[in-house]
Amino acid sequence: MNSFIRVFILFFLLFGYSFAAEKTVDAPAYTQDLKQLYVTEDGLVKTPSKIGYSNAPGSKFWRGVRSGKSYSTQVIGDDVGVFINSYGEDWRLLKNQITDINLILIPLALITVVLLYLIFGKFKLSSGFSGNTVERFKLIEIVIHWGTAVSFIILGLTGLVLLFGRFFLIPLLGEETFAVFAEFTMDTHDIVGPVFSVFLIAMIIKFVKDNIYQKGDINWLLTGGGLFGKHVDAWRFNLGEKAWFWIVFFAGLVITLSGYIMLFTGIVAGQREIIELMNILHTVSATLMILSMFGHIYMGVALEGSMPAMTTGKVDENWAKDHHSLWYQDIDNKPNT
Amino acid sequence: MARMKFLCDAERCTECNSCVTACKNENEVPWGINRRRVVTINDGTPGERSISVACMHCSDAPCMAVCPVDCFYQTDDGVVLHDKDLCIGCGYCFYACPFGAPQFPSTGVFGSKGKMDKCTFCNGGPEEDHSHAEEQKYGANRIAEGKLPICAEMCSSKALLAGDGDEVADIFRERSTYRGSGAGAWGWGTAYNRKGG
Repeated sequence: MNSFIRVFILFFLLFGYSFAAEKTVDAPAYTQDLKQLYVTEDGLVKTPSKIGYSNAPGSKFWRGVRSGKSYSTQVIGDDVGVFINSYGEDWRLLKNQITDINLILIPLALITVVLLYLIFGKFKLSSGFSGNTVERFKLIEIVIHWGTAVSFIILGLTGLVLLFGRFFLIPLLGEETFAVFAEFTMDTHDIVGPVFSVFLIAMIIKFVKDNIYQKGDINWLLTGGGLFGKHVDAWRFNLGEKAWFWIVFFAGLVITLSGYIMLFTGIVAGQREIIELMNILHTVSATLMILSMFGHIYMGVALEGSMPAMTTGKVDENWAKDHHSLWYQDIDNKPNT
Repeated sequence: MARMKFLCDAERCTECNSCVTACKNENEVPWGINRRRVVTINDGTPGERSISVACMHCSDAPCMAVCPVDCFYQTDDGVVLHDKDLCIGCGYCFYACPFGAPQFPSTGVFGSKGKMDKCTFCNGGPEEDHSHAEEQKYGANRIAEGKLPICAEMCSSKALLAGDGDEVADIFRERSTYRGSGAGAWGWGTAYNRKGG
């Protein structure tokens, strides 16, 4: 409920004063009100100053038509009482802007991590591999991670096809083929979405304990994640990993909520204002997560000895000492050979 | 050819819903789809006005612009049509449309939207004119028979006009001149208790 209120406030800010002004113009309910508003003894139009619009009947009518408010109609459906939905165009233009930004940022992020890998190569351990391992992740944590990761990648790819597939894939595949592909893409997105949401909740529950800020975490930031100034002490998750967790937490919850509202249109909320806002929030959160994901994958690949943590669950002792020394000291570190 | 347009005369519309009924009948529109609807503002009060709303066949149609599979096209007459075979039922056209014209039958996976349906100006779709497929998917193709949309034909007060934009404009202008418009309309002053015609 809280996030819904926040979302509503955000929408209010997004569409600004004009929206608020339109909504305050109310049609008079009774003839008495009508006479009060229009009639004065000397025949002048009486306009309540707080509205600031003319109360002349013609202008009132067309303002009502433009307002996006719901009036009476005999048909049944979503938003059928609304005359003109002006913010549909706002939504489309905003979505276009986000699409343009994505078209730049996503390839840029991908190229950046590829270049970083080519330039810096793998970040080696300070004293090589010891051959002894310690358990870092249990099986359940590994399953949850890969469940979330794989479903997210599917959702990200299908989502990007829905966002700008039209511009790249129609020239490539032709209209008919792309339409079939897009329908399959959309159905996949709609089905894997709830799957992702289940894994996301599991991930949050499982990992939130170790992702609260702990004393000394700020040093990770001050030494650029260990990039300048060599070794930095870290707990089970360093500040970078914690930041990634909280991005997934907030953006993931926004994506999930907005996704469900769009999936169950009509059951949850049928008004286009709400669905359009959900669509924008969904797209922005997705962009944020995709960009951060590139960084996360880069970390897993570029730091020598990191991958085994999420494949076997066990990491080399020297890796633990190098990257998560405080965690290594705390855990029962009888070496597993 | 002419640029086809709709015009609903708000002064004349009586909210009889004949246009809605005629459209549903002629195009065999399924339950729950409302190609045309009549919206009434200030219902039951002296300022009551109704307008019949359906697809307005915009020159720069937002539905066409936003469709992720590019299923819309526009005929030479300016009628905006779409291809149901390409439509994936995402609903973006409904969000972008100022008039809420696109409708969805909820026949997709897990009750999701299904193929979009909307007013076609009684001009069918991309299938061959008068074919069975066209009739099944898009409804009547009256324009190809040389007739005008059924909603405008059936309007009881001739509030809803459809056809060549120039002719529609001429009719409306003639009407406005004859009866007066806005504050000059006959009886306006009496209705709103102000100085007027």
